[in-house]
Amino acid sequence: MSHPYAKRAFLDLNYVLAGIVLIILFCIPGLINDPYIWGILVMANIYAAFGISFDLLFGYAGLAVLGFGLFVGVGAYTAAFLNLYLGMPPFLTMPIAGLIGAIFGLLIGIPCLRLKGLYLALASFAAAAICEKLVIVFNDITYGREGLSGLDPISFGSFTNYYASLILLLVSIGILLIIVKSKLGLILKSICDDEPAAQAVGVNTNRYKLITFLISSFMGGFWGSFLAHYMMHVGPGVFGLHMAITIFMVTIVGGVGTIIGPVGGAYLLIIMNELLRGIGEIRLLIYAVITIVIYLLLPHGIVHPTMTFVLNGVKKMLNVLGIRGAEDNGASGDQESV
Amino acid sequence: MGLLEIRNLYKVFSGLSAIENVSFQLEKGEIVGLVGPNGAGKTTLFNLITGFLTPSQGQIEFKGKRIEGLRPYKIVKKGISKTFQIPKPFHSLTCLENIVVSMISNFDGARGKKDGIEERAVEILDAVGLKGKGGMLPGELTQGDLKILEVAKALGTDPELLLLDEPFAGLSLHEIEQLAGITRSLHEKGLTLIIIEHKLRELMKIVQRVHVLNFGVTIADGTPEEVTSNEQVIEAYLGSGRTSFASA
Repeated sequence: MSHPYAKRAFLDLNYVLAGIVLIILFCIPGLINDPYIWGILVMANIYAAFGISFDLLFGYAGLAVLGFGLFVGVGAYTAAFLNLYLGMPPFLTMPIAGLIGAIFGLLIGIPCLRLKGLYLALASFAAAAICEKLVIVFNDITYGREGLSGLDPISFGSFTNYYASLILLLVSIGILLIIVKSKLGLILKSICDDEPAAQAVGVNTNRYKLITFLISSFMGGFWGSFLAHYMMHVGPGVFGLHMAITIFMVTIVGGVGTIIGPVGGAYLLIIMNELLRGIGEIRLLIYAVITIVIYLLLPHGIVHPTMTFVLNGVKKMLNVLGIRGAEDNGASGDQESV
Repeated sequence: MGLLEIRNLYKVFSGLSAIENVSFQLEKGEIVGLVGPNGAGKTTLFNLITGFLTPSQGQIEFKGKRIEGLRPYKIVKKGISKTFQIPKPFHSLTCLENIVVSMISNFDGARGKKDGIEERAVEILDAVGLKGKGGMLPGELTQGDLKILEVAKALGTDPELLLLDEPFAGLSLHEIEQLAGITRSLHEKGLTLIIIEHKLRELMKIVQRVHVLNFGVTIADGTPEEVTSNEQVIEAYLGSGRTSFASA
């Protein structure tokens, strides 16, 4: 009997493709012996983590929390305080920063439960902006606009930093994929699709929105602390508009509501940002134009169409080679199949 | 004691009474029509019963317990479910997942009952005539099937009282017959139903009793025959000067 979920089932070729991408990512330090490149990829991994955490809120629960930088900033400053003032090592500051991020997630989430769309985006961004100003005002402990420097790094080796960020990113992706493929994921999608309809079938929408805030803000805080330790510095900019927009763009360009999408978005945008660095400030304009063009041409993000294209190519190749089963097993065009 | 008792219910929006001193009792196993011209307050009454609106005054009791002012999800867990006039499926989920969502929400906290949810959701799909459509997205369904999916979602919450808001609106005769058959079958299985419907001919064939609202006020309550011959009802629907629905 065919399973009712058959239409949305994972595809073997997707696993193969994901495996190939993983092997490439794990082999990069061996293939490209350049710590500068590894550094760029670490940043891509960090922004990918921010993107997937934001995607849970935005793409699954429909919560446009533009002020996601708040959780990143809280995590980064928590790590800085614990590390610089209490001497805690990164492996302790990171989970604690996640917990503090989650507490802020609750504090922001509860009053924001009644807000939707643009109002939620503005309210959450205002909360982040207030934190940015507070950090500047309490400069005795935060060192104001200069920020706090001299945090212990994740590792002094670029090689280790790269693998630490990659493995933690994979763990984060794994956790979020388990969540969105579970019944919680279904409920979040139902809230995102139509909140009154979800309430009408008995979904306690506020409860699930708060759970999403908790998970997402924990991850934001955790990865904010990773960023702080990696940069060995944290400044008020983590709460700012640039951070908010970057996380938003990473998610939109990669593909909203996919979890995997923002990883592709982060790699594309962070690498593109570095490639354009040589041409000065005009790169920001080019960067913005490319992003808008991608968004206009591929409104569902780059990752899903790219994977479909590659999988269709593989399918055709397998068919040409006479390998049976490829036709039934190929890309269905379903986002969830990624 | 009835399954549902509404006593002296009022709902006022900015000084305008949408529901005014409505009292209504429903026995277990009844199937009742709720009718009235546009703006009579029918959907408002549904929203008050299901917690989407809070009454300005009055009481709503379900199985002897007050429920007015409770949040919608709590009312669903007590055993009242409703469908929307315009179907509101979860578009990014398959038909089966639409029902699974309503089932897992209903069984929150009841550990052990979550086993076999998918299988039971398939049973509901089969029972309402959507067999083989579990993997389809709502956007791929006909209007008739969307209405049926709306009923299936409500059934997923395992209700004792089901409120259907204009289930026949926008459907062909064949689709109406299909949905009317499903409604009859649910009633025969013991489900209590209230149906808002403008298509009176079809409605009168399946209900035992009709409650009529006009401008938020109850103007009649009785069997389909009594109601269709009630002068106030005829005037509300057809205007003064008419003497029966048949002459319209």
